[in-house]
This record gives sequence, C-alpha cells and structure tokens, in this order.
Amino acid sequence: MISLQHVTKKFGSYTAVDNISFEVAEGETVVLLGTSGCGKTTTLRMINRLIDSSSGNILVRGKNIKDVPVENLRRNIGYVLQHNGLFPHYTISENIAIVPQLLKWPQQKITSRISELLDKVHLPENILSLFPEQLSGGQQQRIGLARALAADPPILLMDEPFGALDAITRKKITKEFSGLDLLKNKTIVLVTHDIREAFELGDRILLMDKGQIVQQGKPVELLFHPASDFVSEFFSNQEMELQLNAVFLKDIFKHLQYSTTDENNLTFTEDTLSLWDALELLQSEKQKYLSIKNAVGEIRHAGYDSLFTGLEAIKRQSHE
Amino acid sequence: MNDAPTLFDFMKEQSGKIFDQLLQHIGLTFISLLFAVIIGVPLGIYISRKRKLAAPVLGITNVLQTIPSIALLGFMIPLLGIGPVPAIVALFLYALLPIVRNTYTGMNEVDPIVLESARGMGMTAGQILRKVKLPLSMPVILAGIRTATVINVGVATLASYIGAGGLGEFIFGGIALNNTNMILAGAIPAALLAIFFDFILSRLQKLNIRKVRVSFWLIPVCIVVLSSFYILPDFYRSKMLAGFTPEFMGREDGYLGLKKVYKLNIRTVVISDAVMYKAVYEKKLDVIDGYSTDGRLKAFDLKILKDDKGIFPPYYAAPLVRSEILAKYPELKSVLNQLSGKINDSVMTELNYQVDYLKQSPEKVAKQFLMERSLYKNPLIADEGTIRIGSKIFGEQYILAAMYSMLIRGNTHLKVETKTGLGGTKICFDALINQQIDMYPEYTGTGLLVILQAPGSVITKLGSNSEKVYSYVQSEFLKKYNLEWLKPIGFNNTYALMMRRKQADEKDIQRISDLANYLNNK
Repeated sequence: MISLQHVTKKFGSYTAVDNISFEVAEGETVVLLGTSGCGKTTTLRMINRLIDSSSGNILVRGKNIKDVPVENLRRNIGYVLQHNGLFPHYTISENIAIVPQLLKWPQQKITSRISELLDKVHLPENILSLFPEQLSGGQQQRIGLARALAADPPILLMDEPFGALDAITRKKITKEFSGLDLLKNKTIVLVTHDIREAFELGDRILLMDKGQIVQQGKPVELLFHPASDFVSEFFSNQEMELQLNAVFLKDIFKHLQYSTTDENNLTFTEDTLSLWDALELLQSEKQKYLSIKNAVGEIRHAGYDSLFTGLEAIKRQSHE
Repeated sequence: MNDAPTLFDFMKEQSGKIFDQLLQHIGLTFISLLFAVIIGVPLGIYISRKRKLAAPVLGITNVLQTIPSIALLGFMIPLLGIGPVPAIVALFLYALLPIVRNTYTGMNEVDPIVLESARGMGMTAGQILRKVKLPLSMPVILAGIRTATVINVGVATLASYIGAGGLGEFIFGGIALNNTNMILAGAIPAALLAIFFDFILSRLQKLNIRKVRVSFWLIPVCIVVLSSFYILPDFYRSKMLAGFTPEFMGREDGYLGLKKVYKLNIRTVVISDAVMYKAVYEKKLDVIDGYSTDGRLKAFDLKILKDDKGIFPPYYAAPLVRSEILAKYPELKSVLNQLSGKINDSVMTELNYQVDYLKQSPEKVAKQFLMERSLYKNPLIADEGTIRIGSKIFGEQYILAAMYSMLIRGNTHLKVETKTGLGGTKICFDALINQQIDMYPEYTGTGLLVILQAPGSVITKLGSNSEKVYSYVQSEFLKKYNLEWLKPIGFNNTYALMMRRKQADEKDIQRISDLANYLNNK
C-alpha cells in the first residue's frame, strides 16, 4: 500500500531522515516510534508531501507520489494532527465536510456521510452546528479523526493524534480508537513517542533514532528480542508494564491452575485480555482470581501470583 | 459680537453647504480608503509570503506615516497639482500603513497547525487563502481598516488646503475669520463622522467570527458606495478657475464683495495660502487672492488687478500692544515707533521676496534692512523684564517680529521672547488677550473686519480711507480690549486679486471689472 525506498531528507547539512526503507501492507497499522528529533514526523509528512524528500522514492498504491498532483494525493490520504487542526471559523459539520467538498461530492451525500461518521465516533448530532472551541479536547480529537476519514480514504496518517490530551482522556481515547469500526481495513501510519500507545495500536512498530530505523517488528519482538542496547534501554523504564501489556491470557493459559467449577462471576474468554488488563480487573473488582475459559470450554483460575509466574515462563520460553 | 448668531442658527443657515462638505469629506475618506484596501491587503498578503520584503515595505509605509500631513499635501502639488487627486493620493498613503501592517500581522497570526491541516487535506494555496487565512485574519485586517478610516477622517480636513473640499473648508475658514460657529460647524460633523465610523467598524470587528465572512464582502461594497459620495468638484470643467483662501471666501471684503459689487462670476476652489501662488504659476489656477506685499508676487511674476470699485479696505500694518506693557515700560513705545513710515509696499514686497522665495532667514533679512537704515544696534544687557512678541504664520510677520525684537534688544534693557507662527488672526489675537504674548504686528483692515467685526454701516462710512480706519480701530481696541495700536509701519498689505501677468495681458485684463466682464461675456 505504502512503500518507502531509500528515502532521505536533508535540511541544509542536517540529515533528518537517513536512507530509510519500509513497507506498509494494506490494512496494517504501523507505528513510527521514537524520541523527538528522531525523524519520525518528517518521515510521516513526506508520505503526503507536506515535506518533499531529498532523495529516494515513495510509492502509494503502486504510484510514485511525485507523479500525482499533490492536492489529489492529499485528498486521498486522511491526516490527523496532534492539535487536531480543526478550522476555528467552521462549524463541526463544515469541518467534517471539507475534503468531500474539495472532491465535489453532492451535498446530500456529504450530509449522510457526516451523520454516519458522527455515529461511528460516538458523538451526538446536536454538536454539528457548534464550533470546535465549544467541544472538549477528546471530542475535538474524535472530530479530527472523523474529518480525516470523511471521504473514506484508504490510508490514514496520524501525527501524535493523542499527544495534546491529558493522560486520563488519552488512555480512554486510545482504547476507544483501537476498537473503532472506522479504522478497520484502513492502512495507518501513526507517529508517537508514547511507547504504551505504540504497543496498544501498532500491528508493527518501527523504532527510529537519528533518522534511521533501529528495529522493526511486532511489539513482543521488540520487547523480548531487542536488536541493540538502544532498543532495550528505550523500553527499560516501562519494561514491566509493557511486558504485561504485550502478553495475553491465552499465552499463559497453559501455565495456569485448573479449576473444576466456575466459582466467581469474573469469567472471561482467554483471547481478549492482556495480563495488564487482568491485573487492573483484579484490583478494581477486589477479587483474588479471574476465571478464564479457553476455546474448548476449559476453565482455569488466574490470581496475582499466577499472572506473574506466567509472564516469567513466557520470557524464559522466548529466550530459549 | 453680542448679537452674534448661535451655532444652531449658523448650521441651519449653512445646512446645504455643511451637507455638501460632509459628503465630500466622506467621499474623500473612502475613495482613498478603497485604494488603500485594494493595494494594502494584497501587499500585506504578499509580504507575509515573501518575508524578506516585509521589513522594507513596512519601513516605507511607516516613513510615509510620519510625514506631517500638511507637508505631504505640499509635496503633492508639484506632482499632481491641486484638487482631489493629490488629496486622495495623500490620504491613500496615510491609510496604507495600518492596512498593510495589520494584514501582514493577521496573516502571520493564523495558527500554523490549522494551515498545516488545510494543506494536509489537499487545499490549494488559493483555497487556503480564501477559506482559511483571510477569514481568520479578518478581525485584525478590519482593525487596520478601522484605524485607517479614523486617520483619514481627520487628515481629510486638511484636503481643503489644496482645493479638494471637505469639512476643512469650514474649520480653516472659521479659524481665519475668527468665527467660532464656522469652526464648530466643520469640526463637530468631522468628529461625529470619526466616532460614527469607528463605532460601526468596531461592531463589525466584534461580530461572530462566522459572520465575518459576510462582512468580508460587505465592507468593499460599503466603501465603494461611500466613495461615490464624492462628486468631483466641478472645477475640472471650468475655463477659468479661481483659488481663494478659506478666509477670503467668507469675507465681505473678499469673495462675497466680489460677487456683490463686481458681479464676478467665476468657479472657485478653496485652497491654502501656502500653495496657491505656485498653483497659479503652474496654471492649475487662473485667479487667486493674495496680499499686495507678498514676495511671491515678484517671484512668480503675477499681476495685481486694480480694485477699481474699492472693495478691499486698507490693511496698514502696525504693532498691536497690550496697554499695561506700554505703561510698565514707557521707553518701549518710541522704540517700536522707530519703524513707522520706514517700509512702503515695494520695500515690503522685496523683503518678503527675499524670505519667501530666496529662502533667506527672516532674522537675516530684518537685520540687513535695519543696518541699511542705521536702525540696528548691538543688544544691550537684558535685565529688566521680558517682552513676548507674537507673529502669524507667514514671512512678513516673521520679518516684522524679528525687526521689533532687534529694536527692543538694541535700545532697551528688556529681554525678548518671540512666539512666531501662531496660525491665523484668531490664534494671535487670543494669545494677546490671554496675556500669552505682549504684542504682534496686526493690520488695520483685519482689526476692523475680523476682530471688531464692525457693522456694515461703519464699514461703508469708513470706506477705503486709511486714516479713518486706523483711528476707528485704535479707539475701539483701546475701549474694548485695552490694546493699543502704535503708528503704522507704512505699507498697505491689502487683499488683491492676481493673475499670471502673461495671461492678464493677453486677455487685456487690468482691473477687476475687466475680469468680471471677460467672464460674463463668454
């Protein structure tokens, strides 16, 4: 869907992006992760030509982006910014309608698309005539997403989409986004410096440093098989939490205790929860263990101790 | 002065004229504003894109703004002549800075994130300008237009100096004629106009950001409509054109008398004394009023038309002094009278020529003259008190003030302070009455007509007899104001109609009657 081939960007003598290549498959969510100044945002902005690359090729749906009129390219790529970038002088419905109008959709189609989008981002219709400043930060960000997806582009670029939100809203919205229908089947490139966000949203993570890709792969791969000291150091602060997030109950199912009966009402199927989620549940429900059911109806118990024993087992396993 | 008409009477009587001037004023303001918006907004947009040009462009408009308005109007005369064109150009230049600067600022203040999202969604540069940048910077641009409007309403009063009309005609006519009602009849509408437009534009600015999109189109329309108020003064269609000072326009011994006594029928524009000689020389005007001793008469080779029906009363110059000062310093009177009878018309014209045209300093010319007449003495030690000498704002008065100051310093132990350039008669006279100055040179005719505002019967009785006029004003001034007229200096700086000598000779116009006949016959 998107293909970067030996792309370099120089600002004067400073090399912001240094000969990077990667592919994004259709429907995949790739996260560009790294500290500020690592070149991740520059990389993203080169895909919709807000910045032109100094050398190398970028292909979108098989076509070199330099061969497509730049406005057409951008109208077919959704773009979500950190500070949402909603037009303050446009109402919510006018904001969402911008790209469809640029594409000269008939008014009726625009109107029905707007209410469809609003429903999908879980906002009521009565906000349509409001102005962005009248909405909360989280609502604005959802409108920003709705606007980016208004013309149903197959590709979505997101630049620190939750960066401007406070920690609590951010966590909530991140979770919400990861479950949105709207984002299913979209090819997404997301830039963030937030490791947890990257792990939660990314099918694949590209960890960048000094304009280069240090390591790419699934979250678990980066966590348990760091390619260099830089990678392991990058994750070290939040290592335990990340590991708990990256490992799911189904991964440790075989390490759990058998149970003959379903003794409490906290029963879950094995594939939905990460270990972190399970810990949070135990805490919030004030229970000693969860009852977990696997695909064939087998039930096992997971308490605090067994969750951590399971994680250790997984870690040992992956290093063997 | 007791039975003087009230302001209301005056405004009622002159309502037609006030209305015309008001429309001219609005027209002048908005035509220039229209051009300033048409040029200024795109220029502001342009320099917001080409940052390197911003500093020089803003610098130039800034410099334009600091040029005193009257000087700017003066610069316009050689380039564009007189009338509305130079006035509009000058007003345009003043309106430019606030509009360019605010457009530039407004464009720069648009949130870069909003611009990036606009680009990212695939808007073209033109779409971004029209749909994002202009609407978002509109409040700031409007603030600039508002500032420019208020500036222009004010500066447009000065347009009357160069024959472009507007409310300045009344204001400056009133100052020249010592007519408070006339000043207010111009000043009040001008002030109300400024307040009114400021208010309207401030409301527009505060409108919901959304409705600004409407006002974006409303404003140009309003400006164009208001511009059309200015019906170009009809002088462009005239075969012979007279330029008269606001003072002359309103006086019985001026334009009113010319109409009554000579049945003179000529198109007129109101114009400042400072520019009219040059304008007639450059054939922008054909006839002007002037002073018979003006140095520019000689410089521009103008011819005085003979006042064959005697409507211009004598204007003999003499020092006008507060009586207390003469009592306090008895030696002063004889010193000031040393100049009496020493300067006739042609000598005064010559002295004025040296100052007004050859640009010598009044002090130098005064000193040279006094030395030639052996009247100059080196200053004595000044330790006895101070005499404050005033003068009106033209060369002759500066020369006379300089002469008196040298005579006092040379012959007495008094200190001298000069306060020259005190605008017109009213300002000088008020300064004297309010004891801000002790003396200034005044003219008998001015004393009779402008200050005393003598009734018609008295004026007719005195006629053009210089001695009768002198003794009348002398006794009246002493009685009414406790001011003393000393002996006349000798020259008669009266009003006179003047034309280019060549044109007058070609058309065989020697007297004002000839001019009236020439105009009436064709």
